[in-house]
Amino acid sequence: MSLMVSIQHTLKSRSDESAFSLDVSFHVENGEVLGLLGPSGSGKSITLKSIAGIEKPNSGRIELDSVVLYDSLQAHSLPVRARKVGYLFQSYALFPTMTVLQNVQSGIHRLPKEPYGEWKERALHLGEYYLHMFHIGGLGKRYPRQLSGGQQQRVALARLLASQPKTLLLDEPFSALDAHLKECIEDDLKQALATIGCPVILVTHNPVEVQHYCNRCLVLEAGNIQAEHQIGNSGAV
Amino acid sequence: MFDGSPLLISLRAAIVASIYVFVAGTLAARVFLGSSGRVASLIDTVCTLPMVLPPTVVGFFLLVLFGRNGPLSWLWDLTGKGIVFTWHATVLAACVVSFPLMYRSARGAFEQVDEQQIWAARTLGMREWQIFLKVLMPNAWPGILAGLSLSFARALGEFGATLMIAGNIPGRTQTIPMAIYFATAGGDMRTAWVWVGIMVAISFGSLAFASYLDTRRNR
Repeated sequence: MSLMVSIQHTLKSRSDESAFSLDVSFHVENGEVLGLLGPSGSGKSITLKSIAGIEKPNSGRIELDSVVLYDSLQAHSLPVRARKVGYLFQSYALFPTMTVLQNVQSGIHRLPKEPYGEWKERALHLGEYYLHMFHIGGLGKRYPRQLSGGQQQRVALARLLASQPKTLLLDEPFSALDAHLKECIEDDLKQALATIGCPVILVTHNPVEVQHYCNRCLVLEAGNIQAEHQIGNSGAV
Repeated sequence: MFDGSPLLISLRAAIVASIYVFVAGTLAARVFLGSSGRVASLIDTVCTLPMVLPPTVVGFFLLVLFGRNGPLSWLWDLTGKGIVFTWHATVLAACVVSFPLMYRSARGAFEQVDEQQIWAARTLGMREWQIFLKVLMPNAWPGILAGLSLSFARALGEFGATLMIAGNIPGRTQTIPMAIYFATAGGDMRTAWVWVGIMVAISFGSLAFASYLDTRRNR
């Protein structure tokens, strides 16, 4: 019950000198928050996108909860939709034409043979539940453009958890927030990460965020893992 | 006596053609969205070709394809009648010439949609048709509507291809552009003026609607 990643990827560029090759292997336990720390261009994003299936690495194997997401030897690649991977985009990628509640419900799907009414009711309860979890219960009928940056992030997190993913991938989640808003979200996010209990990866270039959220941290540089640090704090708990 | 039937024939043909073209154009735009390479650009060219070809050339091809002994004539033989010189031919001609406008508008509108939203929808477990209906279409809606009103105006004004495949049968296939041509040719300037006025008004309205949507999209 964990996330296992081992991928190699080469990005070809026009000049051979700037060719970039990624080679990382790591695993994340359930309930663990792993930080991926490194400057831009170190391979953090492509690692995260490979796990989600947005990018396809040249070779390697990715396994989540004993389900093989990707295996180059067997030419196997699970479609993004079936991976049950929760991905928090830097820009949040909320759907502007949906209300906040509809956004949160967009990952709650009708089960096989579930009557339409029951599904709608379940989606309503779950949607409200996750809105309250992030203290935005009153914003359900608004549209994303009517919200502040901090509120938008809360919606994105609520939407993420409502889809009940088996792992959370957070891509520079705080880059668009100022210091005050970062503090505001901290308690809620930590609590959420503690309750969900699945493997979590936090990508950042800010060591302070790693200190605040992570149990363990990998330092990436030029596509390789340079160092691994255990972080002695309470992390997600 | 003034015969108003061309207005009805034109409107009916343009509305029906717009519905077909809306469905076909948006689906084609979605299917070929993001595809690249030689085959894709060939398909793109073929989809756009009726926009730049002389309508008589389009009409000629339609006649060859759907006419007696044409390779597609069996499609219409099923219903017992040929399509040439019927009202259906006016719809067919309108569809073919207006399709490129819808296709290109829809494709342009889809390309404007933030790709991260599509990926976000996929990671949330949405299926491709759900993404099309709930994410792509609502976001691209102003552009799609603008394309739809352009195709409607184009379908309404279709002359060359219609003349070749549907002919000019008053009360059956005589559309407004046809009525204008034959009224002018026959020296009936009053009738021609009436139809010209109606045509300009409808086209102006469609284009004004399209540009209104365009400004709203860019705001």
